[in-house]
Amino acid sequence: MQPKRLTPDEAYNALEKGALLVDVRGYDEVEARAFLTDKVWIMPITEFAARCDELPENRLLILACTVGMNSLKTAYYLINKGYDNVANLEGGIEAWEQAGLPVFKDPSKIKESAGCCCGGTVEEEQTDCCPDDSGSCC
Amino acid sequence: MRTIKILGMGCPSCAQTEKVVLKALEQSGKEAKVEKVEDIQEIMKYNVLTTPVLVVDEEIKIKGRVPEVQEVIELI
Repeated sequence: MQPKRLTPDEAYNALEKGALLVDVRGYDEVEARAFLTDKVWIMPITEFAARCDELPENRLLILACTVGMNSLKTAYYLINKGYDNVANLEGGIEAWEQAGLPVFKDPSKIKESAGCCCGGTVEEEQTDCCPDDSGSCC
Repeated sequence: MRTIKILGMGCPSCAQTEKVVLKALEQSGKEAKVEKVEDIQEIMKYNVLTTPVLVVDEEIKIKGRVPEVQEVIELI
């Protein structure tokens, strides 16, 4: 079984119909730029394994991150745990914002340390993860 | 012969892990089949959220960081 792959517009429409957006980015990234919807849970990938049982099984869960790679991993992770109504937001919040969908932004908190497809952030795992200077490796 | 898999979707740390593994093999003189796994579906068969992941004979040994050469030598 594979997660559904939703465009930002498809995801937005699904949220209107009761789906839940699960943002797996780190808290610092969320503070800087967030999905502007009341149907979002913040569950960073670093906490995901410990907390994902909190997620409801009776709603479509749309996993999201910066560009859609970490969230894809978490989507598969949920499927492996038995969740069967799981989707990935293709392109993450980058695509969501480019599509003109609502975001909250705090420019003072935007850092170069964007999310990393390894599952952490450059700041958190500087010696181990994404050791280049790009901030985001994927 | 051992089979070593490096799971990761192509980020720099995954490439670095491969270099470390090859160096460990060179330094130890041991032989192993080294395989990079970049396909998300294949990676998620191991149910891991953080990469890179070092798998030796289908057993996850290290995940979420680049190992040191000596560490890999001890694992193989």
